[in-house]
Amino acid sequence: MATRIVLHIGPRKTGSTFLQQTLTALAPVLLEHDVLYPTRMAGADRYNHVAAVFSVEEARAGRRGAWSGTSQAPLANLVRQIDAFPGVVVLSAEAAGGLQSSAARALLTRLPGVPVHAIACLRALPAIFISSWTQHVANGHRTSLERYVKMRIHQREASPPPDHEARWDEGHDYTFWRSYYYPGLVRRWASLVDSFSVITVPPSTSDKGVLWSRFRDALESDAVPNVLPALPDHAGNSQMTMAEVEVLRAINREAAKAKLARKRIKLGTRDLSRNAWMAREDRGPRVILPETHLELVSSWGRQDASELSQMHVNVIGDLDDLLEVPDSQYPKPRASDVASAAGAAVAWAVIQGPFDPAWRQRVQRRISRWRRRISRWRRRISRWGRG
Amino acid sequence: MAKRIVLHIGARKTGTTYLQHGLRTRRRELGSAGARYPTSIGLFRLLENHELPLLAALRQLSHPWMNSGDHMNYDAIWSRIRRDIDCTNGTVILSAEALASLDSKAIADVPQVLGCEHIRVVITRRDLGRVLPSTWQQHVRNGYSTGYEPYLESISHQRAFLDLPGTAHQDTDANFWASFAPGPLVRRWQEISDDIALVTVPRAPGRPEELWERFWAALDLPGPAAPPPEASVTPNHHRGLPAGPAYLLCETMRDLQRRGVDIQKRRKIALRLGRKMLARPTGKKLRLPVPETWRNLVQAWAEHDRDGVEGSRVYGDLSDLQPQHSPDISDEVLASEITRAAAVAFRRERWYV
Repeated sequence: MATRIVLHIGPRKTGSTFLQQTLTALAPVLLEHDVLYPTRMAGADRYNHVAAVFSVEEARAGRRGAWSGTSQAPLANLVRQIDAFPGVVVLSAEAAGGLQSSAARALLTRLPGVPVHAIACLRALPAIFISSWTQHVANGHRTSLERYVKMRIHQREASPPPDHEARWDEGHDYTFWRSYYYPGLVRRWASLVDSFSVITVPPSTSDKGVLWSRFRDALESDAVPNVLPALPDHAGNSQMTMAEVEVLRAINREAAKAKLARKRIKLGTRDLSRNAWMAREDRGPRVILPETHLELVSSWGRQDASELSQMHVNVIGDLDDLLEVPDSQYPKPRASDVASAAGAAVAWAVIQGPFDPAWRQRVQRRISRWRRRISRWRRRISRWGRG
Repeated sequence: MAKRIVLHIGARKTGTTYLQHGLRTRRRELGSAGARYPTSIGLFRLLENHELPLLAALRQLSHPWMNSGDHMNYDAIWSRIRRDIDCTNGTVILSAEALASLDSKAIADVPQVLGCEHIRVVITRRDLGRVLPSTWQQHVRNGYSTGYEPYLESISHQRAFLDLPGTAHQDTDANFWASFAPGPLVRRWQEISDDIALVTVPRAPGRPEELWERFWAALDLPGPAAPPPEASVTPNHHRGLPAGPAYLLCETMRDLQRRGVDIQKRRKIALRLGRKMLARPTGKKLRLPVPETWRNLVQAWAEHDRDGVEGSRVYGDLSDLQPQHSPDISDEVLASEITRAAAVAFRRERWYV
């Protein structure tokens, strides 16, 4: 059985994909030093363990995987690997950060009874708002930035302290504030695990090596190299520009009009950002918070950082990183930026063809499976005819 | 042998599809006026116009509208048209808007190819305020990725060579003024005919039949002819793209070019996308205007061109050629039109989504 579990709980949009890809690249090196980062579960290569977390959450809530579509297999497989490994096991599932207390408790109960050290990465609130909205649109939604921000602001203002933590922990729709009200996140998880550290995500202009170096310190293992391994191009999620998100919103709107499920919309637009937009030289202005809301959101960031500084929690990095405020000039995308992003998206769609390649593969697999079945039945029938 | 040939030489983007449709549907009226618009080239096969067979007959094989190998086919079609001309004892009307871009050398061969000495040349003209945006969107629909302003700059640059003798007129995109500068155009065609008619396209909004009436008068045929029926006058591939889809198509072509897709393939994709976007129009369908910074220059060109049409008989009003600009579109509205068009095009291409 493992001696210790290090559980990276995200939350989302705090550099998790980058950290997970780094851990995946380093997995063989870590293994040599008795540190396991499981990269294969239930017969599939995975760079994180979100599916396992989802399976607990969905089983508990009685829902069948809206996104993950998972069974209990990934978690059971993960538990078996932890049981069989005689060292430190590192798990990373950014979805864990947004779990309700009861779900987090259920997750920890399913893990083997070894000490658990949890790590959370914290990022400045204005940047989270932006990143979270772009992800929301990438997930197939059509909400405008203005409306999205207002919705989140309303959720926070409608639940004043001290009751807000309890309210957010009960409601299913409060994942955002369960994840990004950092003092609450720390209190919730610190009470459930044996030890807890938080890492502050450095400002967006910093070198990515700084985040990795902080994460490495939080792992408290000398086996982890301090040098970043070679990662694939665009490691981590790419940030879309304002024009690109607007184009994606329009595509989502059009797909929703045709009553397509969000999962299907997401599947259809997957890779659009990476393959159609990233290679362009001039991508237009980045997304930033509308000026009207920036001050309020920044003030919450300041309050939360100040509350964190008074809590007894191990902070790796600088709490000032949470005070980062982006440019205050709200960029309206120019028609030329939108045209460029839209043209690139349509060109990609033309080249890609009508189907998602993964979907096409699945259909082809099904067809060949049916062909095999039919030929088997034919053989049986002909044998039966002869006999 | 035909006594007279009326040769409609365009230019493109001046209501030619509408007029050709009118000629096809008003065959009976033409017959009773002693005229013929030959379109039948076999059982169940009809021509829309005569530009490709005529280009083939004039050996204009490098013309951008001719695909390599096409001329073999069109030679046979031309023989059939030529037989029609020889068998008709009256007026034959031919319509080929590509002919406006021919140079003097090619024009000199026209009487011999047509086999008739008495040729009336009909030129249709439209104001530059509507022609310039229209030709740009057509340029983009031909698979090119030149932006709107660079396209206008290129046209402005070409204007400097307007009156140079010996300018090649084969490339319609590289030599806009070969088709659209009336002075040199009239002078080139006067070398083979002194019977030149200039029809001006009425200003919008006007009666749609007005253009037909002017054109009919320019044909110089007895009696009036009813305008063509309203329904489905203009097929999708000849309708102009609104501003949003036109900008979108331009950027799509640019991206495909960046990805190494060749011009032939781009042209096919552009035609397909253009058709799809017109089949399901979205947004406000705003017409593209000439940018405000260009309007003075366009006005100066129009005034200069107005003086260059001596020697031709004008049907309509020369004041129709004063540039008429569509209303300006704000950047925000244009951006929204582009995203709507992109969503439709994306969904149509990638219909799994």
